[in-house]
Amino acid sequence: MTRPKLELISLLKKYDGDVVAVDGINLAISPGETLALLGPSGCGKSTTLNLIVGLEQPSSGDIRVDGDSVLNVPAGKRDIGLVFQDYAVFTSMTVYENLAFGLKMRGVPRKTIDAEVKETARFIAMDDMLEVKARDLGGSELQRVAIGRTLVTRPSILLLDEPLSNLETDARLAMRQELRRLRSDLGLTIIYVTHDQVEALSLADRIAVMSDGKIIQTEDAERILRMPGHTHVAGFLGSPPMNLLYADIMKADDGSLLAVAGALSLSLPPLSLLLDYSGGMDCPAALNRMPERDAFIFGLRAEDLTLAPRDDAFLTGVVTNIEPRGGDCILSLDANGTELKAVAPSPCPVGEQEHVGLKLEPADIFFFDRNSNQRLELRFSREADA
Amino acid sequence: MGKKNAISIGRMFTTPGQLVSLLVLVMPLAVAFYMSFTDWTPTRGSLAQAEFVGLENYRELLVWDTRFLEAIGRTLALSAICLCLEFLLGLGLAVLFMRSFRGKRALLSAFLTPMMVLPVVVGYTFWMLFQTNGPVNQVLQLLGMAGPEWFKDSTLAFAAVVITEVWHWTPLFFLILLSGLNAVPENPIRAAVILGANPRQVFWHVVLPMLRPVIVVAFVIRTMEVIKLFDEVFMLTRGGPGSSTETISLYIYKLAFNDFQLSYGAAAAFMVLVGSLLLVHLLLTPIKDQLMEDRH
Repeated sequence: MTRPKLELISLLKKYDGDVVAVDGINLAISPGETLALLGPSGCGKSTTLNLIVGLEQPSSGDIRVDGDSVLNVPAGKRDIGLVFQDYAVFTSMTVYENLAFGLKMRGVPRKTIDAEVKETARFIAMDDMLEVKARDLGGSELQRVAIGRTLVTRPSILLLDEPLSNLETDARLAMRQELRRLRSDLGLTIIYVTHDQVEALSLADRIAVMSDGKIIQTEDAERILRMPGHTHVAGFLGSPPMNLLYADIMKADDGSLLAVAGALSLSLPPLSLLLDYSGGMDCPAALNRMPERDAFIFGLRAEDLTLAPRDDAFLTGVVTNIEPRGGDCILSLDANGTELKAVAPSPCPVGEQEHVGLKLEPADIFFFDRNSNQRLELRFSREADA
Repeated sequence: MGKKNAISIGRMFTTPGQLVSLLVLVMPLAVAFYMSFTDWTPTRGSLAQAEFVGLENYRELLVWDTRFLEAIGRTLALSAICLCLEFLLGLGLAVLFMRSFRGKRALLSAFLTPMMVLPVVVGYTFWMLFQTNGPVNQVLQLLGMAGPEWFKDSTLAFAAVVITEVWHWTPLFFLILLSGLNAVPENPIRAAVILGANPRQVFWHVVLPMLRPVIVVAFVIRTMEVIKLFDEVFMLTRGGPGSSTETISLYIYKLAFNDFQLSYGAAAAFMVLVGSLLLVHLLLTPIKDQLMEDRH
């Protein structure tokens, strides 16, 4: 295995004694990899970037680039570039002066600066705007200048802090494409901070989901959406995110299972069909583990809940809201006091306040541990209905 | 209520105010402007009876009156020296106050106090301080230097005016620059640091350019004030020795109230007004685009 380009080792940042912004993060990023740090606002993403780039010092832990600690290397000498959410372009300077800034500060000869700036300007498609004052530029142009200004110093790691969140929708789509091109052309190691999962999924090789200063799951971009490892990830990713139900499972005398979530009760396949994957292979070991009554959090994906005749339904509920999305619509339902989201085709075949049935393949139920919030390797067998 | 009705009621309320401003602002200016084209003095009949002399007063001021031209030159020199000193001191203090240190709050109030003192009081206080047997000379003596006669030497008298003015108004620069520094966004500074700039380069290339509009505004405000400088010079030196500290305001005052050359004084005042307008316009040029810019 190749040596990681960047390693964060038990990285901790505390403010004023007690406020923990970054809580013991461990992360290794391979050369040329793009990793998205995904999480809601205030979860410690930007602080993590500030620590990596050297704008702030960690309370403890280590940051290594190519295996060497950079804690004693000042920002600006770490060979790491950062593009800010608000671009932070120098508005009083021209595009040229902005691009030349980093090289000028490093004492690079004027001729070299000129050549590098012009090359970078071509790369970011700003070569015909070099003499324009930055304050006269629009959002996506500012963004390109901010990226170009960082790239011209040729960092080996590029950090992007919510680079698209200040842009209009079409500019954002175009910029996303440009970032993909930049990634493949330069082969940089990139950490991309965002709270937008679509951005993360479209740009990153791997996604690390952060919550409360911790990284709760790091996974391949596609797999993380398919197999969320934690209720925070399940409740954050997906559009709409997974329905999470606090369900108690009870075993009936005849061996069948019943899940009770508040006033809602769901009948499940018999225990014999519940498989435990924790051993690494499919075996019905769950039989022995399952006590008389157990508490879980159920994860039900909205897309897996589909409309069905009520007498054939897994559960029933009253439609409280319909949100059309073009290709389909999101239904909000009240299922005996439990709020659920489901996806229905468009145009929506049901109306608000209508009592509807929803079908769900029991094999699509995710089990999470109620104490640790981690996903459990439990699943109903797909052969159940076969 | 109809729209027309509302407008006429609005007019009813605003008209008295407009009339009063016409009476107290525009009228005197217009009268003074007319006066500047006559040879009127109050000892010789009314203004209506005064002879119309056209541009004679203006011609005399520009061609013959060396004392007027000197006063203008002196006022400009005084402005340049005072503003540069006030700017440098104010900026230094503002940068210092961007850091945290003990007693910052108390010191901030102390540093802002001078500009709250009446100019007449400041003039009088410094007049006392600079007396031959005054505290300034006593301190100089303690340091082994002979205290000079501040108000008998033209250079020293000028220096005394500069010192007084700088003491009085550095706090304004300090206050404006401090709020300007506080308003400078943090991310461009951080970006510069990441791009390899040292603190001096960050200040010079990033902070100062962002501060430019604030600096210009501070200079404009202070320029308008220094051109009008009267009270402190009047209390300190009365323009002396000779006319070596005579500012333009002081000279116009003397023309009008010592020599009763009211129309001549009015002409001088109008020339200064036009000159100040041009100067302010000139000072605002570098940031005019920014001031006129629409907010995105």
